[in-house]
Amino acid sequence: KAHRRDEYRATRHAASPGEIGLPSKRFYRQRAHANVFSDHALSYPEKPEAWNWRELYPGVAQVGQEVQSAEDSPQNGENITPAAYRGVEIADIGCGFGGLLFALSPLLPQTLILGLEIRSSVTEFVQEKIRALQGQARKGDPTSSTETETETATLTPYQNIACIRSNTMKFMPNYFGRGQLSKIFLCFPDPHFKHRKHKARIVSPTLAAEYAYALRVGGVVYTITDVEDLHRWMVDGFSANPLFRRLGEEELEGDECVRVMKAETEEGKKVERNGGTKWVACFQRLEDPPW
Amino acid sequence: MNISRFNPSNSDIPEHTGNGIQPTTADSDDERPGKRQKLSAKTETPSYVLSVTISNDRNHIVAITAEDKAVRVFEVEKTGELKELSKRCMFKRPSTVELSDDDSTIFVGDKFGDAYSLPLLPAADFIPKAQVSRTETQSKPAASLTTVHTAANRKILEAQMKAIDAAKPKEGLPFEAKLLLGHVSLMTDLKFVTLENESGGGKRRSYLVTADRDEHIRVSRGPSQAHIIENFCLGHTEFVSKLCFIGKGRYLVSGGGDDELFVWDWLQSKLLRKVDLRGPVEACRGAGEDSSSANASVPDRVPICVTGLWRYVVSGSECVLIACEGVAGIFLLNLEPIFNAGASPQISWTTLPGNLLDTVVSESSIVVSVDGIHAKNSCSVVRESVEGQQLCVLKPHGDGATFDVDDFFTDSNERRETNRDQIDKTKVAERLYTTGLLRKRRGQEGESGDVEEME
Ligand SMILES: C[S@@+](CC[C@H](N)C(=O)[O-])C[C@H]1O[C@@H](n2cnc3c(N)ncnc32)[C@H](O)[C@@H]1O
Repeated sequence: KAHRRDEYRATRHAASPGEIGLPSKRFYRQRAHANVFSDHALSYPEKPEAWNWRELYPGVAQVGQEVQSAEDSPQNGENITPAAYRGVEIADIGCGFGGLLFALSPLLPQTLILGLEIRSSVTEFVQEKIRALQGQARKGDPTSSTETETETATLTPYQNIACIRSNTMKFMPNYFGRGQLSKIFLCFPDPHFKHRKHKARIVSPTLAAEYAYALRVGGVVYTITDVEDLHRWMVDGFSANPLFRRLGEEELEGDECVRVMKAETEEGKKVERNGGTKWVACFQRLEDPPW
Repeated sequence: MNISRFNPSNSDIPEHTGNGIQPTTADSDDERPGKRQKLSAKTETPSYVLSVTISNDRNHIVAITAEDKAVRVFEVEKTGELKELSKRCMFKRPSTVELSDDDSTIFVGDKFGDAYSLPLLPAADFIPKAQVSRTETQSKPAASLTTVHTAANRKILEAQMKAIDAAKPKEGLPFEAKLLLGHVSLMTDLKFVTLENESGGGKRRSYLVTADRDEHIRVSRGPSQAHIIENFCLGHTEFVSKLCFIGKGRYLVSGGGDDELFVWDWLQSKLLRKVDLRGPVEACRGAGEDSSSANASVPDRVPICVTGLWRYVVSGSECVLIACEGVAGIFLLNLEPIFNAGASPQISWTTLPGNLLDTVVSESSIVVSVDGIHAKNSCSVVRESVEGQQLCVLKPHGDGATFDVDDFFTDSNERRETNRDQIDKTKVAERLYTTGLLRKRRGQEGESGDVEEME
């Protein structure tokens, strides 16, 4: 069985993106919980500038680490500076099979979005699917040049998304500079029910500080879960940090991101099928207080 | 200094171990919270001192001890003796300790990456919050500590809460402690620094700078706003074990498992310089090799592992003294060339009669402790005649770059002499040489493969 998986993945990998269909999840399944405290054979950049962003977003001319300072960043994340001149702006933490990435990509076509996932096979699935979708889009679009990318600021479909394997609890700062992100998604994080495993939760009062660091002023953390206890834990965790303000329901009305996170994530669909409740909480990054 | 066996002396010191804060929860070496082993609470397992710091006014000493995960505060009495004032057991084993400038606050970093602040002298009247978990309200004690008054009532309640806590993990410590920040990795060092007039506005600002096993150095605002991360100083590719401020706090020197020391303009997260340490360490090891002890063979490429950095000023120049694990020498980096953007700085070295363990820098001299049990430059080879711990006084040599080993105290205390034969030497190495264990075994696959999973 393992052999079949390897073969499947290798064949796909060798094929050019225009010729492959979408990957099948069944060849990429993996045990649900990775130990977030152990030294995985992870590779990560020593700092954001040291990472080959160009390789991650091959369609983008200059993925810089142009980290905008919090002061001059737009209050509203959706302004249309060409993606080519900035870095990743949206992070999907624990992206799983990537449902959110694929749904957000056409919604924010000029914004670079990165999925981060700790499980290697799951990451590979998302990468493969991105490659396939990019290939299909290119084939369907006669104006787009083939392999060599034209260095324009406009991206063809699915060129704005990428996925990497990472343990974000440890290595977020290795990827994102201060105030770089406009949105962070935490969709259906592993609940880790046992009390003494809470330190393994991807949200905690101490990790909230790291999310605040990576977010620009005005940026938003989106959280959703079907576990009420985890929902309250996340609300407590972010509310305890004075750098965050919970957004009220009316403020979230019409926010496409909320709809997408409810409807398009794999977990969101599963909860839907099972008739479960989805708890949403979003927090806006406030300005650093004077000191 | 570095290794000392500590026996809790008298039992009338306040022990803040109530409410199921079990000093008996021994944690294993991997960073897995919650793995528990019970040690018998009654047997007095000796607790080893991991680190010691002295208050600026020289009146108090704060020590962190391993087995009981405790922060202990001692008063330095007129006679020079130490009197234990308090012992506070933390959730996790402390790994680093620091005092604020005004000596009022202790900062402790732990094995799981969290940092807490505690008052130096715990308030006697601290009342722990009733520790009730939200999800299990049915196990709420009948009253809270604030509502009971008689001693008997209180005892019953405490027993009740203890029972709950044994079933349900605790949420608070039974003494005043504030969680300041957290890394998800062993916190190797924590430094508190106050900058005067940093941007010309006459402002005083304090920062907490913390380092971890995952190569990070984090700069956070001081205790009242420690949830605000100012920046990270990234660039190390191995664990960071030590931080040292110089230039009135403006610059930071960091070292760990890398071959170089890093010099930072840390407020700007700007790396100013990497200074080679491997060259000097290898030269020193080579020079220190005894022709007499042929068994102390020095492997040529041993990993560098910084165990100590100390600020030191020699004839007006700011320097850093450096200790490396299992190296019988002391290293000196003069930072003036860096400040003056001049030539590349060099690290000079002086051999010592044993592996350098710890250093105290005073105005007039430097006192170092060296390992008298292991052969020079070895963490495992035991000397033929065990000489115990030794202290040396170093005086700067005329060149300003090396030292003369001036005085040499061998411990001649008769009682200790006999004890020494009973020392389990392998145990000593286990206690003395722990920093190298921070190194990651790269390339190991930490994942349990591809198994069927969710969905
Ligand atoms: C329950 S799944 C949710 C997946 C997806 N967000 C969704 O909503 O369908 C949680 C995911 O987070 C990943 N994860 C857990 N801890 C992580 C960490 N420290 N860094 C990155 N990913 C992590 C898990 O591997 C898992 O795929």
